[in-house]
Order: sequence, then C-alpha cells, then structure tokens
Amino acid sequence: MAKARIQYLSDAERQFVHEQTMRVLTEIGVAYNTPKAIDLLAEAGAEVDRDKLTAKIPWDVVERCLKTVPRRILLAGRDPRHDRYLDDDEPIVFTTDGTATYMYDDLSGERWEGTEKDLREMMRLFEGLDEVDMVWCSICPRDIDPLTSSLRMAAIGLSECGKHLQDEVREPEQVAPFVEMLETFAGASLHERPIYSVTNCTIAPLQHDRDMTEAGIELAKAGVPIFVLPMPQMGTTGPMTVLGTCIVNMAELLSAVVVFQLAAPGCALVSGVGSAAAEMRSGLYLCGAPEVGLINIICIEMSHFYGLRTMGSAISTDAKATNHQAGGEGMMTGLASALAGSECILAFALLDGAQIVSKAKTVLDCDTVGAIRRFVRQDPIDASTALLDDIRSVGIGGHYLGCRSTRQFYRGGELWQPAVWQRGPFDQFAGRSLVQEACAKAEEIIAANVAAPVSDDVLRRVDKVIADFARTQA
Amino acid sequence: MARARLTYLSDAEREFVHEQVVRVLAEVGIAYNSPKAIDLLAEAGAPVDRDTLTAKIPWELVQHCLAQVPPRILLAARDPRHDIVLDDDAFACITDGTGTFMLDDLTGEIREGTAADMRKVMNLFDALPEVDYVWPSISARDLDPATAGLEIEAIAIAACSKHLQDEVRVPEHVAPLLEIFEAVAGASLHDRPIFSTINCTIAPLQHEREMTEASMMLACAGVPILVLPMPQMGTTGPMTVLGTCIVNMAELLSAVVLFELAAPGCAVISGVGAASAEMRSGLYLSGTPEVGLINAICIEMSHFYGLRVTGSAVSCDAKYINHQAGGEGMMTGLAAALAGAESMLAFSLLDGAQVVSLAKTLLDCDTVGAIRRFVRNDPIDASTALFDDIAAVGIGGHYLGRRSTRQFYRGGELWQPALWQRGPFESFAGTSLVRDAVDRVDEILATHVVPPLEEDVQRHIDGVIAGFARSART
Repeated sequence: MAKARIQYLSDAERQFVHEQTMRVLTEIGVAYNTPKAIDLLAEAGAEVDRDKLTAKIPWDVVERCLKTVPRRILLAGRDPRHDRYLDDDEPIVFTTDGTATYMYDDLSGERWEGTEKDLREMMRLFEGLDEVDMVWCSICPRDIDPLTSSLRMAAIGLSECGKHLQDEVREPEQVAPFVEMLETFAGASLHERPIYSVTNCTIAPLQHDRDMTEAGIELAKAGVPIFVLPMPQMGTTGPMTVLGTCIVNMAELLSAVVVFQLAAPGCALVSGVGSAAAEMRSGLYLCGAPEVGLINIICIEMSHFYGLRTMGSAISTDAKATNHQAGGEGMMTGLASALAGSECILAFALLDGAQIVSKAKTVLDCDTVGAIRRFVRQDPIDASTALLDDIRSVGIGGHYLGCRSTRQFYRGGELWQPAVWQRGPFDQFAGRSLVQEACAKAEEIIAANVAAPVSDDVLRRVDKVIADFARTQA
Repeated sequence: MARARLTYLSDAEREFVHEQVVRVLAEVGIAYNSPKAIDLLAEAGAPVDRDTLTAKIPWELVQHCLAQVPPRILLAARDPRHDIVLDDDAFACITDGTGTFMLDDLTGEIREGTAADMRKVMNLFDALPEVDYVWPSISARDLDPATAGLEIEAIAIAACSKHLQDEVRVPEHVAPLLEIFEAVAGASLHDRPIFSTINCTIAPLQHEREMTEASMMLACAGVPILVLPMPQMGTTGPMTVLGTCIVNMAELLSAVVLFELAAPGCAVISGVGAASAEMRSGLYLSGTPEVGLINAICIEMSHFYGLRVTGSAVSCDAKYINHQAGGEGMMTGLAAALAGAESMLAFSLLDGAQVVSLAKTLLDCDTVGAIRRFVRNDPIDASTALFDDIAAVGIGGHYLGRRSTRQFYRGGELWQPALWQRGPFESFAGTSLVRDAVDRVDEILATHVVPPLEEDVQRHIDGVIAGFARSART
C-alpha cells in the first residue's frame, strides 16, 4: 500500500532537534507558576526553584513521563456515532478551529462580535457536516454572562452538536461544575466516555499559566484528555527561525507532558502544534504562512519521535475573505499536517488569523478536507489497481469507458467528488459565486438541525449546575 | 540541510510499476503512425508492424536510449539573464497553456483569445520574476490559420524575452521556425536553445505522425523536447491513478526511445500531462487530488529512469479566481514541488486549462512564492536553532530585540506575499483580492518594457513568415 508522506528531518537532524530541546529543558528550564506543579516536579527529581516556581527537567524524567502517555486515545462523542480514536490505523480526525471573536457576513463582507445565536448556528452547522469529526466552539459569544461563559459555551456546544467537544478551562474553580455537567451529558464517567477534551495553552516562551495548568491537572485526573498547545510566534515570543520556534514549542510541550503525567499517570495527552509566525509590522498572529506549515511538519515529526499523538494547526489562513488566498493557504497548511502524519487536524471555519468565523468557508473547507483525505489515502500498488489486463484489452487507441473496472472504480471513489467546488462546463457555472452557493448550503444545514436531541432532564440538570456555579461566584 | 519531500512509492512498488510499464511496451506496444519512426525502431531491433505502424519495445532498447538523455538541460532565453538549467538543483516555474478563452476578471465574461491578448499576456510574463520560462498561454484565434503556427511563436518571442516552449504540429513548420529562432538567438539552437518543443502523445499508446516527425527534426536541430503524455483517468486512461500512470510512463518511454534514436543525446524532458476526466461531460480535470497523485507517481518514476520532469501543477477546474482555484492550485503545486519536479507548469489558467486570467497569473505568483519557501533547503544546525538566543531571552520576554530576529527577517526566513493580504482586517476591509490583482496587472503592463528585437531580426522574421505563406499558397 502506498501513501503520500512528507519526511523533513533526517535521523541526525531529528537527534539534533531533540538535543536542543533537552538543553532548553535542562539548562534554561520552564516556569510552571504553580506550587502544585513544582511539588510534583521536585518529587520526581527535577531541579526546582520554589521562589520563581520554575524547574529544570532532566531527560530521564521526561522519558519516564512519555512512557505513560497512552498511544490510543478515545475522543467520545455525546452521540456515540461520533466517537473518534487517535491511533495509527484510524483516519485523520478533523476538528473545527477557534476561538474567534467575530462572525463574518460572507456576502456583505461585514463582521460583528459573536453572539450566542452565532454559536448555536455554528454548532448546528458542524453537526451537519460529515467532514467535521469533532468540534471547538469556534465563535466566542460576547453576549453571555462572563461569569459562567465557559460553562455556558460548553453547554451550548454539547446541546447543539453531538460530536466530541474540545475547549479551554481557564480556572480550577470551574473544574467541578464542568465535570458534573459533562458527566450529565455523557451519562457516564468521563474516564469511560470522555466526550470533552481540554486544550492547555502554554505561554511562550517557556511558561505555564497557573490557573489553566491547575485546572488541566484536575481535569486529567477526572479522565479528560489534554491537548497541550504551545503557541510561540516566530519573531516575537519565539526565535525568528522556523527551527528555533519548533525547539521552544517542543520544550513547552514536553514540560507539559511531564506535569500532567506526574499528576495523573497514564492520562490521555496529545501534542497540539499552536506555533505560528508573527506579522512583524503589527505583531499579529499569522497562521497561513508556509513557515507555519514547516513548523507543523517539524513538530509533528518530533512528537512522533517522542511517541505522542499530534494535532496539527492547519487549513488556516490570514485571508480577510473566503477567496483564492484562503483556499491556497488552507490547502498548504492542511497538506503539511496531513502529509506529516498528524492524527488530528484543526481545520474549519476561520479567516483572518483565527479572528473571524465564516459559514461559507466552513462549507468550502469541507472540500479542502475531502481533497486532502483523498490525497493521503492508502492505495494498493498492485495488479488490482495497475489494471494491466484492461490496458492490454483496450490496447492502442480506443477508450476505457466500456471497461467494467471504470464503472467499479468510479463508483468506489477512485475519483474524489467535491460538494461545492465546481467541475464541468463553464457555461453551467457562469456567473455563479462559490461563496454564495456555500452560504446557501450552510443555511440549509443549520435549518435542518440534525443533532441528536438532549433530553429535557439533562438540560435542566445542566442549567442547575451552571446556576449553582454562578451563585458561588457571586 | 532539510527540505520537505514527498515520498509515495516504496522501492518494491517502484519496481512493480516499472515492470508493468515494461510489459505494456513489450506486450501491447505503441503506434508511432510514422514510417520514419518505424524505420528507426526496426533498425534498433524492436519488433515492428509496418502495416499498422506499431512497435513493441524491449527494455534493453529503452535502457540504451535512457542512457543517452543528458542529465543537465539548458533552456536558453532570448535574454541570457533568463537562461534556465534543469539539473538536480532546479525548480523552474512555467506559464501553463494553451487556453482558448480570455476572462474578464471583473465582469466574469469570457471571449476567444486574440493576438493582442497574447502580446499582453507575454508582456506580463516577461515582467514577473516568478515566471522562469513560458508557454504562449492563450490561443490567438484571429490569426490566419495558414501561418498561425509561425506567427504565434514570432509574437511570443518578441513579446517576452524568456525561454519559450510550445508545440510544433507539422514538419513543414520546422525549417521556418528554426530560421526564426536562430535569427533571434543569433546562434545555432544547439548552442542557444531559446525554444523547446512539446510533443503530446495521444492516449492510449499512440503518437501523432506529423507532430512526431516535426519533433524528430527539431531534436536533430538542438531543440529540447518536452514529452507530454495526456491519458485521462476514466476515458483515455484506466479508471485508477496507478493505471493512468502506467499508460503515461509507457507513452513517455516510447517517445524517449524514438527521439534518442533520431537524435542521440538530444535533450528530452518528461512532462506529466496525465489527468482525470469529468465523467459526466468527459472534460479534462486538472485540479483534482488524483492529478496531484498522478504527478507524484510519474515524477518518482521519471526520476527512477534518470529523467528531468515538468509537473502539471497550480492547475484548477475552478471557473473563477476563488477558494477552489487557490486550493486546487496549491494542492497540485505542492504535489509536483514536493515530489521534486525540476520544473512545473504553474500560471494563469482556470476551468481545466480552458480560460486565461491575468489576475490569476498575479495571484499564482503568491502560490508559487509560498511553494518555493515551503520546499527551500534550510540548515538544521546551530545557525538556525538559535539556542543562545533562546537562553538569553529565557523564561518570558520576547525576541524582538535580538539581532538574529532582524537578520533572519531581512534574510527572508518569513516569506512575504505580494498580493495575499496580511495585517489588520480594517486595512483590507472591502478590498477585493481580484481587484488588487487586476490593478497590479494594469500597472505592470503600463510600465514594463520588454527588450525589443533588433529591427533587422524583426524584418527577417516577417520575411520568413511571408515566404512561408507564399509557399503554402502555391
């Protein structure tokens, strides 16, 4: 079987990157900014500074912690039909990207701050798109109570969409109500049905956020998979080279692996690649640059070197509308992660360096994802696909339209078919806008609202959890 | 040094494909449709059928001919500053062709191309540094068909000073074209091959008599040959990626044999023209993931045979410059570039190579620029790891003040697009990428000056064409 793959680093180069990463961890160290983490690190034999809450981490501690990370990771859906696994033989899991501040009107070009209505619509759209395997709450609703917004967003996400949900939990105080709410949705312990996973963003360069890390530790203990997402930006919070930025990314990643495996040995943990480049005039986050593709490739290769499952940042763009640039940048970053062998890929919905959500782009990204899936599909290279008998029988001249194999392979998906991208005679599509067609399809899916419903009882109990939390905070 | 490279076939799979290709040549054979070609094949020991003008080609003969193809191919230009050499380090990008229609990028209307369009298109190509050499991308439908084959080349070589590549369809055009090109080059084409010819085989497994005889004569005169098999998966090729590649490679090798027998040591390039068919309309599909895979396999196999390759890339079936055009273009472009093609067709076309767009030509420059950055050789060592900077910045802080940041930024570590939009949304709100590209095209065409042909050379060309017209009438 053949499969298109990128290899970037040689064995010697991979070893070099590993050595540099270890030098960062042992000579410079990492700030955990929480005594809880420092206690764990000290107990494991790392050299800690309790005043600065930093630690220098030797390779043997890293190695020991890497060994306890599971290789097969279940990302359960609220609706079990949407269960996905990260594993060697599983298809790539594509997830929606986030979390953007603005919604975009694809037809007028206007944008506005996201609302609860926007979030509900987007989650319904995600549910209706087969290419979406799991979801982030891609749009931040600015019209809900900030006190309970994290819980409320997750509740909206899970009630409108039956797919596995992933998001941040920023404070340890939210962990208990979160776990109660999620287990209510799941109808089971999260150890058995992890319908939610949490992203843990480190703070470049080489720091952890106290509250988020402590929340991550508690969630890991409750069975919630952790997606570590370092985000050094090449040129500002990372060095101005692709390689230097990757080294900072990998050092932050491994420092997180250590703390979570010490806190909850054997907890599910995934290497997310959040590193990107900075637009050096404005300092803005650039996520569609070719360097972002290369950063993803190196970090995915290095994560596999450490035996970790990965989530690439891909199909991302800095384009301001759903246009040629969005298609090109999205395909480049998407192919980079897929060809590097990432098990999970952030993929849908965003424009303008992850600032804006577009319904049309979400739908069109499905064609990008479909094309990528076809491109990296495993295909046999043998007599069954060489079709030498057909080549012989058609011979010189003639055509293959009458061959049984033509019908069979066409129906079997040898030629991938897009949903919205246009093929066929020009006249058939003259004057028809791709964006307009994508918008129409999005609205149709949203109106259909195909998510498996959540029972009223579950919704009542979830509301009560959130209301109780609000009271304690007030 | 690291470079992103795509691998698809294992060694055993490559050997399997080779065996199938050899079986097609030896068992099914090829129709050359030219007694001249058959004479050469017979003389070289191939079993031929003089009634059907076909030959079966043993591997020993193929091997003998492959050994004569030069590994370093000069594609000289009218302006020597644009000379291109295809060798191990080459990655040259070519304008694609030949479209029948010109697109008005702002109204969306199409019309048949004219000589004036061709002049404009060639002027634009001359001005764009991303374009390394050129096909005359638009067909000039208002030229006298009797002399169009000569006039097109005369217009193209006058309107653009880069290496020119095109078909020569009939042997009668060879002598006048050689006279034109040698007058422009001021030298024999053996010394300064400012023109190379495209030899399209006719799938499945045929050669066109007139074009093949013209190519044999051109090869003898020092003109490099791009062999471009074009089986379409499902119609003139089998309905599998692999089967279509086998037909492509068999046609390619049959052409290598012929041209090396006719002009031993002549420069031959493997062009990958195989694509897929839109099975409802039979139209040529050039932007599918399968086209990317076909290119990846045929490029790998061509390298296996020691040939330089032109991939078909940055191609699309989109009807306008949109998300699809960007995505399909990037996918096919990356496939060819990552597979290591020494040159690739890249610019200008929409709608399965039917429609030429000036704005897309400009936007394709950003696609090509991003691809060039993505496949660049970069050192993986202390010079790019920047450990000293990582240690100096340490935990927290930023890299803005580091000398390495300035140095690598100025050195192009972060690729900069020309038209794709980066920076704050507000800077671009309401600014259409296509409108920007159209404005930039107008600006270039208003200011760029193509180095003119000397007056006596132009007079000579006009005389050659007039003389050919006279002889054609008589």
